[in-house]
Amino acid sequence: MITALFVLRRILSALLLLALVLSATFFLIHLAPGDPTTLLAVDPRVPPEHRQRLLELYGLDQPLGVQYLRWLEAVALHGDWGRSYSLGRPVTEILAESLPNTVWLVCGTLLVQYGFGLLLGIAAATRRDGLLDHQIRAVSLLLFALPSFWLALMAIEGLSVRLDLFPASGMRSLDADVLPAVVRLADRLHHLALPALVLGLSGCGQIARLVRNGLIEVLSQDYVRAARARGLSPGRVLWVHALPNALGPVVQGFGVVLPSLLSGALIIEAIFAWPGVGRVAYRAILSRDYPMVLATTALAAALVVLGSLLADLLHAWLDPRVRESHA
Amino acid sequence: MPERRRLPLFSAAAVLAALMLGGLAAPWLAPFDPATQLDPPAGSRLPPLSLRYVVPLANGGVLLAEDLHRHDGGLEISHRGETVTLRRDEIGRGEIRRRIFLLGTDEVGRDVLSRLLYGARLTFLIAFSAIALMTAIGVSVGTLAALGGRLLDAVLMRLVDGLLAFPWIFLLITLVALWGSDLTTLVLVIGMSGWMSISRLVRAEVLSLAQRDFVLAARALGAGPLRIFLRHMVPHLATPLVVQMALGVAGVISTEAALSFLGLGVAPPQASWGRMIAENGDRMLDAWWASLFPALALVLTVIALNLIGDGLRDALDPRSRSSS
Repeated sequence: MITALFVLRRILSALLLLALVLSATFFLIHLAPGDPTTLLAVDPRVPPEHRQRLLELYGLDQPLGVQYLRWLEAVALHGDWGRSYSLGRPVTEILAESLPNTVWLVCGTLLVQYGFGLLLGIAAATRRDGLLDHQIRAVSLLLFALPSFWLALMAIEGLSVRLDLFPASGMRSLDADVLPAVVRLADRLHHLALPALVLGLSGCGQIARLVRNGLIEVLSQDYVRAARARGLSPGRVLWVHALPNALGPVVQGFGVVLPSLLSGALIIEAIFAWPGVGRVAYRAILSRDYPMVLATTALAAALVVLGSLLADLLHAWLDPRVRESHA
Repeated sequence: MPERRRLPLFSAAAVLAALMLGGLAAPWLAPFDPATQLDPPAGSRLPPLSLRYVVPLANGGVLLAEDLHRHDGGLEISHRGETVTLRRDEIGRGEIRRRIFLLGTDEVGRDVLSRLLYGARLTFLIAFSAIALMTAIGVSVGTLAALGGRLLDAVLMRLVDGLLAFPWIFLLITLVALWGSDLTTLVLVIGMSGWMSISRLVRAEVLSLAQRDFVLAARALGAGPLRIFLRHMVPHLATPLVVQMALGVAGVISTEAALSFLGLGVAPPQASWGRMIAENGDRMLDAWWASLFPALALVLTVIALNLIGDGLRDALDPRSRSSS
């Protein structure tokens, strides 16, 4: 049995690591040359007192140690991540608005990535070392090597500017609010198509490789041969007997896929003006919005930890051997 | 190695060598200065293989002329479809030559080939410095974990596990944006964020090597731990490490391109592949050459490094051949 203790230990060590990384981030961003008001100082119309007042308002005039302890106290004891410097609203509120949008993007991407990955992987494994296998491997490598931002720009230029098939930015049309629910959903999916496709395609080679290798190993095992010998159709052997057992590494691979997926989402969100966590983070970084930067980093890390924990639990649930080893 | 597998490996090595040599020799190979805007808008978005007369002007600039006739009083050139007469005192010193723009020019009239070559120089400089840093940290942490006792091993490996699962681009962007984007910062930041898989590999290798008979024999003969590590373990470590480094270089190059694309790479007039794609990203189809060639260079480099990594692994470890 996989125990609650295992889950608890994973969460605790993740929290410890998160605290470490966030503290390091805190010092690295505060120690960097300049401060959030540096941009204001360039503007001659802004009086110096004004800058000073802002620094006091943000608490940036205090010694760094004091700032850190205050931040730590607010976050750890009160769950208060502060207010965004540039937007003036509580950070948690902004993130609560943008997180569902990122979840939409991530889900759409995963659908594309795992869908294509499974198809390519199965096709390659069943025609092992054949022409199709080599072609699929070449395509996977190409998709992996293509920078996702180049693919994104090509998709925008070709599919939305030239052919006008998909919207190039945002996640809903201007009149989305007055549309009936079904049309609104269609509108959302229409906007989601390009970013999810681009991000999913760049990552599907990784999945295809996992599926292919897992399936090849399973297909060479005795029970598969036995199933074939009993006269079951090749399709049934593949889909019912072999595939479920080949998916362990694929499920486990989710923990590795998620960090690169979130990293990719940041770039894709910036290009497609998708109002998600990545775009919020990117803007916050450029405007030196410290509380926002720390909170988005924490959120991204938390998502990854949660994702890999879920993947491990799912893997253990699917595979009794793993379950035993965690007991 | 079977014949069939050799061809992609050798062509990958050839492509990589060509790009690296091109980058190394960029100051001699590049036909133009990578940052100079040649006579925009006349020199903007020239398609590949365009031919132009490069006429130096007295004020230091240049004109790109489609055609040119010499007079006794000066020059008559056709410039953007119009005939322009230049007096002798308007023409600067230096030769007037007909030049070919092999890969065309970009939005503001910079030669794409020159920028590509200087971009290669920058890319490989960053990649090799970062991979050196990553290897240094990775090998130290991995060895320390393997040989430093159970507690240290547990702590370090937990740290590595955690850092591996971290969405690094958030931190990378933050650090590069705030600490400035000169070369040193870039290399430091990228290098510090990518050593984990190397340390994991080194730890596993050292642990398994420590059990091998020749290490036991060396120890029995009285060799110290340092000597055992340097003389008996490092040679065995080198091969898997090289494979990991090839893949690591590919990763660094992708990361650097993404940072440059977001405007966070090295400072603007310098050429970088990612930045070239970003700068010409709004004309991907009509002026395709300015963004396609850097993208091609990126893709070829990353594919070549992956093929070389996989090929080396297959060549060195027959067991992985069946499953890769």
